[in-house]
Amino acid sequence: MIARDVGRTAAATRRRTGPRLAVALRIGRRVLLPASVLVGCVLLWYLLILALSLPSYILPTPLQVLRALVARRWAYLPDVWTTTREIVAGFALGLAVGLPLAVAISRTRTFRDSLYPLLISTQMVPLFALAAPLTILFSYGQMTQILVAALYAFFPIVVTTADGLSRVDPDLIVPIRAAGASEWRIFRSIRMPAALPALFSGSKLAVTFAVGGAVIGEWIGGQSGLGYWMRFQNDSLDISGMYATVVVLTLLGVTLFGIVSLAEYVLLPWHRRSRADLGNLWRGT
Amino acid sequence: MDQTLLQLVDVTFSYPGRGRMAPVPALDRLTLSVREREIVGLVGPSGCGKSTALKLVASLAEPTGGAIFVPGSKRSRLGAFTFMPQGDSLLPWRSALDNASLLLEVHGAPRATARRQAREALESVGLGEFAAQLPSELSGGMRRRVALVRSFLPELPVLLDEPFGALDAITRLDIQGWLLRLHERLPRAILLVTHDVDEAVYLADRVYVMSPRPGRVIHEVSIDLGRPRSEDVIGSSEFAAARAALLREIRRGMGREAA
Repeated sequence: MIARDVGRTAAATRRRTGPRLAVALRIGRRVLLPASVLVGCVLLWYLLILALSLPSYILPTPLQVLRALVARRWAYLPDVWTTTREIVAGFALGLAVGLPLAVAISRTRTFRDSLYPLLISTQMVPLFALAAPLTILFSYGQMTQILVAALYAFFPIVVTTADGLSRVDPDLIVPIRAAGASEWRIFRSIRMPAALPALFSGSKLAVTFAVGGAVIGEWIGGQSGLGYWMRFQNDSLDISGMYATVVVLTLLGVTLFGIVSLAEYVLLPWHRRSRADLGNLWRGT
Repeated sequence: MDQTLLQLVDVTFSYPGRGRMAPVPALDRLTLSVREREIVGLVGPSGCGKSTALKLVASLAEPTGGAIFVPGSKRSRLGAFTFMPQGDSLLPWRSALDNASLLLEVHGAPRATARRQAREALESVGLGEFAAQLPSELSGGMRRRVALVRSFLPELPVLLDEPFGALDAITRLDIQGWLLRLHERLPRAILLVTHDVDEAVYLADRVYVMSPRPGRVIHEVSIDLGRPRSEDVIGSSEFAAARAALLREIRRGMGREAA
């Protein structure tokens, strides 16, 4: 009798905690899993220093970096703002140039055959080599950084969007083509919306590449921004400080990636893989 | 006598050969006609060119010989029919309602008018509650129904290419009955390509039997089951007789006598 009561209570408890446990497990997967990987990496970093007895001017300890980060905290904000503006402007420019190119490439063979090799070769030019002449050309403004970021950003947008536009399921087009729709109508109603997921994939790559582009531009010819600051710290052998700036830059990059992912999630509800669940943000397309 | 809306006379079609290979003949002097309000079945063994015939009618390809007449339409064939290819072709980013209104919009109806008409049509066939859903949220059978409503909304003859392939048997039967009721409400002429003899008998007024490739019409069967038709006809002796006759003709076309 007692045993049965206990059994019933246990079952009731299980019923009550069941869904909560599932939620906890899900949060665990989404938060604890990446967090523990991160902690593991930091530990590995520590062990590496201990094992190879690396001096702090080569690889500072995580704690030294954290201290440098805390010491400067709010002082990063103006540089974060500068770099963010350059990344966003570079990304926007990359989009403005990349989208029409993608459409042209997907629409005509001539464009594809003549432009694609050129586009690919732009990515082979080390942008370090370009940043210096650009700096001389534009002197010390933000134009160099924006252009370098755009040069990095447009490429993934062109490639993925052109791909997306030319891979539209022909069966989607057949009914409206048979209804006598114009090419423009087909493009507007079917090709472009169908290519949007590809465009977002490209944009996620582009915004990530633009971070690198802006920083290279700043490193070489900037007067402010995180890249400029990293170079300054590097030159003055403030290696802990430089790594701290890298951490800030990483956070910025991840945030921008998250914003593009969020835009995709909000704008393309039909493309969400599974249930409405913000955890999907980090799974990419 | 109902007006003829579509007539194919000696339509021949060959797929161009690759490189130095000879062209591959797909259709050989295909002749058939479809009248107002009529459901016409086109059956035949796989690869006989049934789907190719629909594409030619829809002007997605041009015949290599013969002629296709569309007496009711002054325009070119493009835009004179609605065509539903295999699969439902619903746009994943449009709701059921906006998918249903798509062809009306292409035919020039203002968006608001098209949506209102589509909403009324969906409601009248019991799909009103699904209007706001995305195709990914609908079952296979529901998706077909929405696609059929889309095809029936413009007042044009409808070309259906294996519309119920890949559905399970019960869903298929339900949706066939549903198509008959949709046809009563929106009585379009229908040219229905199918490899399913039961489907052809259940739905059609007349059925053309095609030979294996290169396809041509080898037989024409009238299905006198009357209208409106319900699922009950499937058990009738008339149904069985029509079905047997069709199978016999298909087998004969393939050079095999019924076992």
